[in-house]
Amino acid sequence: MASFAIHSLHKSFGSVKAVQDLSFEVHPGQVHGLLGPNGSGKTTTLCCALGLMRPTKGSVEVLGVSSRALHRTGGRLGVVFDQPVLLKRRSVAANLAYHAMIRGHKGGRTHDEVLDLVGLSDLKKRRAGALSLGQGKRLALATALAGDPELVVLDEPLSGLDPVGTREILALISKLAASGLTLILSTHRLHDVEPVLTHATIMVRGRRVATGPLSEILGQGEGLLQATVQNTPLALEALSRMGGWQVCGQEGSVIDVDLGSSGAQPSELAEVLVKAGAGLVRLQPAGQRLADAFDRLVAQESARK
Amino acid sequence: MTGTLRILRSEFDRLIRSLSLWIVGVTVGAVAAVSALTSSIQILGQGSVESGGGWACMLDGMRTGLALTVFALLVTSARSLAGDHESGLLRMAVTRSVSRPALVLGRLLVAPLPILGGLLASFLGAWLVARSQLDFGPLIEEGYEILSAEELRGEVTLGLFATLPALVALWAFGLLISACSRTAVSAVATTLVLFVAFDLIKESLSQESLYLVFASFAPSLSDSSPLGEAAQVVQGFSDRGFSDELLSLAMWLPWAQALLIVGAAVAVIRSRTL
Repeated sequence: MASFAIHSLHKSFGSVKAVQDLSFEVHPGQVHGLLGPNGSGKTTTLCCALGLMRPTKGSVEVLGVSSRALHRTGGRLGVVFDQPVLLKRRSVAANLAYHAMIRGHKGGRTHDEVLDLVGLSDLKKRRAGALSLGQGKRLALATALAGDPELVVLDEPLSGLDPVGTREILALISKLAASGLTLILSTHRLHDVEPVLTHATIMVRGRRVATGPLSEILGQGEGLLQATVQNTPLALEALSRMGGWQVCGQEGSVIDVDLGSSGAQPSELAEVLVKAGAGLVRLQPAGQRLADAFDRLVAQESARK
Repeated sequence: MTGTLRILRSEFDRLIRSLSLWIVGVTVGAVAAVSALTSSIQILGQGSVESGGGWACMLDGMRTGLALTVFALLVTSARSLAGDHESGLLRMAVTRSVSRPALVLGRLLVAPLPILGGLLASFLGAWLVARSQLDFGPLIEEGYEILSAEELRGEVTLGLFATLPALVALWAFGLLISACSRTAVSAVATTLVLFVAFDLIKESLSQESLYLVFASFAPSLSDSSPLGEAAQVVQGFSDRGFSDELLSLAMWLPWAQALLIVGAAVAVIRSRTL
């Protein structure tokens, strides 16, 4: 059974369609990224999924329970919001105790274990308001991990963090993923989260443009080539004259070309560039990164529009 | 039900640990004491009361303390849901083990703590001063016993019991405004403005004001609470006291109104985006 399942979710605010026909599932043990640029509908999706907002259409099930009755998950769900929800005048330990009081569910990790896990054991008595943003995020994560959650949802876990804080949180997420916990990360920081993800759903303008295992999403760009040329304008002009392929990126003398489903071979592309006198230096498969795949998918979605 | 109890426990914990609420409690006691002192000076200055002046003095102090308590209750309850919505605590709670109605019901059930706290602070402040200045015997003026000590005690106790339900309903009213508001500041401002506006015009509304019993019968700037009526009796200005009809209104109607108001607050919280 899926830990988290969204079926045909729609959410509109007046005439603005924030989320359109979104469906995806997250299964136990996955580290699933809900990815997309700002305004793509990630937070709205999470709000609907977590029962904070009523969807216009569609349904969401979290741990087998409808999103409008998440209290029935009995403490098996942990959520960390973008802004840590903490009682700033109370100590780190008192915050954990307060959250435990609301969660009610007993058993699982003790407060000491969870503070040890997030690396805040030494700051147990410090006021939550005196913590740095990174430490505050770790404490918020600790409150979600205390007890025995099966699924933890993190909304923008890296927002506002400096490189050190980012590394700390990512290391923690990796540790949790290694322990088999199911995680959902909503973020636009693709480069940072790529190493920890097993699966992803990519959203653009409220629509899902890809979902599935990360390897499959990256593999969707198999026809992507990177051409290094001496005369970029000439190369771009030659490429635009010939149909079938699509220029999906350019940085200096390096041009990304997507052969896509054109059926064209790399040799044909090389021939065009050579004939055009663009001074082809190198033609190689583009190293697929999540950010590259994301750019390609966004470009495809824009072209589709 | 367990979610309601969890919220009740966590809210109780927060109120008990809130320094500002302790400060409010001490202030209520101090203001009640000052008011009782002023009243005792007046009574002693008039010289007509030979015995039993302590009752009037204490009630004056308590009415002032409870009027302050009413404002503290309104501010605290209005801040409650709206403030927690702003800080994200409501979101956190509903994604854990708490249903939306429990967010309201738990906060309603915690009402006895601040109400009894305010009552106790008012009583202690007023009683200590009244006891040090005057006696709590029968009310005797110019040699005549107007009321016995037992009758006076009965009037004061009845006045207090009849006043308490209105305080619970006022707490529920603050929760309703809080449930409808986006920020704590707007919730507190709206609640206070509505209450004070009603307080200012309730005299001119006469009978119609009784429909809003919880607001009419709460100790306030323009006091028409059962405790205010009891104050008239213990000073010897009235021998009638509260009519049975008004007394039963004050004792029972606020509970029904509190339930209706809480029902509305639950409906709002169930439908709004958190």
